Amino acid sequence: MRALEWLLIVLVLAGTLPPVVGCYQFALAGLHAFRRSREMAGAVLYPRVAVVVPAWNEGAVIERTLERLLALEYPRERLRVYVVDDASTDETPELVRRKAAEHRGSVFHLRREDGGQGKAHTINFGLRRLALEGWFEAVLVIDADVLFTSDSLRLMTRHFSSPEVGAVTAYIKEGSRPANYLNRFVAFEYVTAQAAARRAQNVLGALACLAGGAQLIRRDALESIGGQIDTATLAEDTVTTLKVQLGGRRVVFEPHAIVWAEEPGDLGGLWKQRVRWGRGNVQVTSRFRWVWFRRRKWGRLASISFGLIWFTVTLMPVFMVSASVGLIGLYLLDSDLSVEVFRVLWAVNLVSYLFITLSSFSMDLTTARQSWREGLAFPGLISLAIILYAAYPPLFEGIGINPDGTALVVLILFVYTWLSASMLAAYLLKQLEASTRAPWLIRPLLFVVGYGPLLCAMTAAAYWAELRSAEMRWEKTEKSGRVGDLA
Amino acid sequence: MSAGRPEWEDRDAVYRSAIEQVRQQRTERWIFIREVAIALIVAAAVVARFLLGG
Repeated sequence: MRALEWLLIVLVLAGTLPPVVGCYQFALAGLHAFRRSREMAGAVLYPRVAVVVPAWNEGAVIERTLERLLALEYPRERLRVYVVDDASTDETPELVRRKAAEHRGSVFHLRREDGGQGKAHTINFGLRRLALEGWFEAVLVIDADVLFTSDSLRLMTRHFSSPEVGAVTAYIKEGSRPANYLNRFVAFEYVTAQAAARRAQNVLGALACLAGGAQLIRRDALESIGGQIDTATLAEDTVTTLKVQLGGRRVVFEPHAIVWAEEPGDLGGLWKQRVRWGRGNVQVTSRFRWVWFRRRKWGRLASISFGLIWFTVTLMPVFMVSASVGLIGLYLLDSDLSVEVFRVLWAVNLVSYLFITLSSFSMDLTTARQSWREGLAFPGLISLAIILYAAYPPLFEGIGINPDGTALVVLILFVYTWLSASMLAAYLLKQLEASTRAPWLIRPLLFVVGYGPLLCAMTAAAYWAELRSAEMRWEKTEKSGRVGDLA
Repeated sequence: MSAGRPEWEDRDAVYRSAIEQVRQQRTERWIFIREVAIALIVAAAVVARFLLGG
């Protein structure tokens, strides 16, 4: 075999890296059951917690969030809530001041007149005030719309019985009720990206990101990173997480501390949110380039496993394009070889799809009951058809699908390019949502194209935004208070 | 907060916390058991596919 053919095979097999690493991550998540937790046995720890709630025009959601915080199973005298009002122009200031008057000593309204710089700056305004007061022993940074379950905070604080734990994050679940199709896709995605991925990272001893909606940071860990949140990137929560760990502390995920959040319910809103997150990840990858894969110097955060997980997610679009390019190139050189390599690629995809999907369902049975259709259709119906065709071609011949001649060539080229073309299809779907008078079309089309390709497309859009140095605007996700009454 | 030690101890709360942790650990073990079962089923499906040929 020629060197060029080998190169093209490697390009195709690069496309197997994300599913293989995904399976590895889920295998690690299963080992979460065997983590040593003796130091936490029976731990009851109630540090003085200051909750910082950055809020810009959150009138639709802030009151309920505050009520939930005040109903936490936590000693009232050890909990204070600081709403940092970032020059809101709606009823947010009035609502918060009313709550502060009702709960003197527990709720505080901090008004920032010169606002509009983004969430990180708003949080820092609050942190500076906390530092002056000196009361807190840990700070909990949350979003204005999240609803904490009553036991979630004390489940997080108990991890501080280990002195080396510097920060803890909760399991953010999609809580919009009634949930639409996109909410259900996000709910399933969060099982893979949070319940599984963060359990795996607990096992590895390094966490990629404290969830922005629920991050509890010990005071001395915060002070060790300068007492402020990073404002240089769009991923301030990821930077905080990495800095705390590089300072020698552990960051831990508590899977049983559940926090409900409202996520975007339309493709346009989701696109803006995820492009921001993707840009943040690109910025963090570059900023911490001196850390990756240097375990001896930087510990578990710099391990091969952690780096593989980080880069297979961040570079997913690259791997998808690589596989398509490799397949097309092989087809031009040796079509029979290309078919064999194609089948290997999609066999790996089939095995990982089955393992990851079924494991996700088993990891969060509640979400599985709600989102099983979206979980099954996550890669998209076209991808599922390709998987079936690669796994067992006689199935299609049996139902009369047996193209030859030109039709066969067209079909082959289509399935070879679908990994990349699916991202373009997802982008066009997002554009269609903005322009169409038939919004009912979007849901079935998303099932056909796939939510996974949509995530890849949003990551690719983030690359493009970074490459052209687009303005770094912290575009707030609009919240409408649709989080259900989920105890 | 003194490093690693609770500031005040409530025996009932400690007992409840320990029980809660046992329950949560049991949940994690069941996740592991189901995952192993899924892995075995998927592996069996792969083997069956190879035996089918084609």
